[in-house]
Amino acid sequence: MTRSLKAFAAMFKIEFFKGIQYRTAAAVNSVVGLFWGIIEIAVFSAFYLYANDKTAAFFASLTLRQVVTHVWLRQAVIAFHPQNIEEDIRGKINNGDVGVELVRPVPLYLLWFSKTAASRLVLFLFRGTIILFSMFLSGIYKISAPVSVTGFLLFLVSLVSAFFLCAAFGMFVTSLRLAVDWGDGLTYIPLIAANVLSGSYLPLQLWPDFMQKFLLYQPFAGYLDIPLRFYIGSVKAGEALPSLIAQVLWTVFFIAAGNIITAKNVKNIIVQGG
Amino acid sequence: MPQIELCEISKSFTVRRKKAAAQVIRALYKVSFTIEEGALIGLIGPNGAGKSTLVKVMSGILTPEGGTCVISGRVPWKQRTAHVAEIGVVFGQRSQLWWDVPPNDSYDLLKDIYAIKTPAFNKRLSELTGAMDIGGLLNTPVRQLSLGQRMRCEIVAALLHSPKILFLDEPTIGLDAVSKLALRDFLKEENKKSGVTMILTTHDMTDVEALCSRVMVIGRGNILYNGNLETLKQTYSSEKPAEVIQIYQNIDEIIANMYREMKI
Ligand SMILES: Nc1ncnc2c1ncn2[C@@H]1O[C@H](COP(=O)(O)OP(=O)(O)O)[C@@H](O)[C@H]1O
Ligand SMILES: [Mg+2]
Repeated sequence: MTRSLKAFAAMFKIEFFKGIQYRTAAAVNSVVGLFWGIIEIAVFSAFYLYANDKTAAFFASLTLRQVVTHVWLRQAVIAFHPQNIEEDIRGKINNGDVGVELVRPVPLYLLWFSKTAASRLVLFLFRGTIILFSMFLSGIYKISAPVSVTGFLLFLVSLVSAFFLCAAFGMFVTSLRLAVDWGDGLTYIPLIAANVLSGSYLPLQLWPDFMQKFLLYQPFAGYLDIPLRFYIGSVKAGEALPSLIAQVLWTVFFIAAGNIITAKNVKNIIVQGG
Repeated sequence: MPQIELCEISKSFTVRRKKAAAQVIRALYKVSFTIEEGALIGLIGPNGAGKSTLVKVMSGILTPEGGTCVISGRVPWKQRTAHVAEIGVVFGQRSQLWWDVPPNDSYDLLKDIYAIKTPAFNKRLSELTGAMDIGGLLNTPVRQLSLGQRMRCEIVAALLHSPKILFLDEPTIGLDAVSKLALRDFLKEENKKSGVTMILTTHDMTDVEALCSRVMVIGRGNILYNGNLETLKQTYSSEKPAEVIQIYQNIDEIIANMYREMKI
């Protein structure tokens, strides 16, 4: 435990310095997020404004205020979502430097999990500023306060859990990349599917009714939608605890699977040349 | 008891080629030897002989399919994390430093990974940075360092946790004369002072001449010679008398002669 904390802290430090070194890129990334949020809100408000009898039912599950808050929180939380295998790790897998990682007295999974998680957390620090900015916007564009103190606390708990879930899934895909020589292209497929199912494009509660049960309990609701439901107060009665448990169980599942697959493939790791 | 003991270690790779049957390459075949603590061993052999594979097996990265290997009482690939905590590895062609940050940040990370106590770490770091003369490089991103500068930083990284054994796979590759000499002096001094066992692979015979108490020649996965350099020179230096050899004949010629005679 202390060893994993140390490894994580050390990785975080490295990623943090890297983030500072590339702060212009990170700042640009955040500004883009801010503009993107504003455009999305403009589109959503048009939809809500012109909703007719047929489409009104579609929007009934969330108010426009809730959707706006969902947009802003998401712009920050999306930083957790693995968009690819972590850059350094990908490089090492592709050029055979994986072997070099094995001379460290830390299990490979732990080292890479820390790296994956740390790089996401650093991006989150940058993108978190989007939420601050959104507090100063006016009218419909402004983010709302959390629905209640309890709601906010549950949001924080679920957010921490989301952070681990995202890193666990990122590492799961990384371990698959070690196991199967897919090339980089195909690793995007599970990552993109996860992004869609997380509600990053459309809040899950705006998806068709018949899908709701499935959407809530599939692994990627925990990426984003579950924590945000606590903040905006759209959790349905009786779903608070089960959804939190589902989030944790999926995390445990992906950590276990990633660990097993990595351990299995470490043995036959190919280290070419040098 | 020897610190390193290998007995009939074999390792092969299966290489798949497009449209051709899979081919099995024997990188190591029944390799056996022992190394005592504090020795400085030179591992030589032509390209593809199996030197790097041997280093990778001994450092716990690769699992051989046959034979036994015990280093300081452990089987490297079975007790990997415990084993690697006590060794240092430098791959001349690969970097262990984090590319985007200065060496100092990498060293901090290594301090945490190897759980080195702060006072010990500070003492060791200043000792090593002094000896390797990298004080001025500590805050430059590794990406911007020259090969020789980077190699010096890599060596410091590999020695920070005061390993008992140091593996160096072609550490002098691509270094200029000054860096090469400085590196040799340093390795020799470190070996004498801390008693670190060192095993280095190289194509540069002058490295071996300057440093190694013993040389092992590996060819096509087999150990072909294991002994001191003088005897090896005498054996393979075409019929000339020893004094003449030492003055005139280039060590590289002797080695090339040997590779030819051994048909490797
Ligand atoms: N990962 C690998 N996959 C397939 N063949 C390999 C791999 N690593 C090494 N080999 C082969 O094993 C042999 C020994 O390689 P190596 O130990 O790297 O030689 P050296 O370091 O002495 O030049 C070579 O024929 C090489 O092509
Ligand atoms: Mg080699």
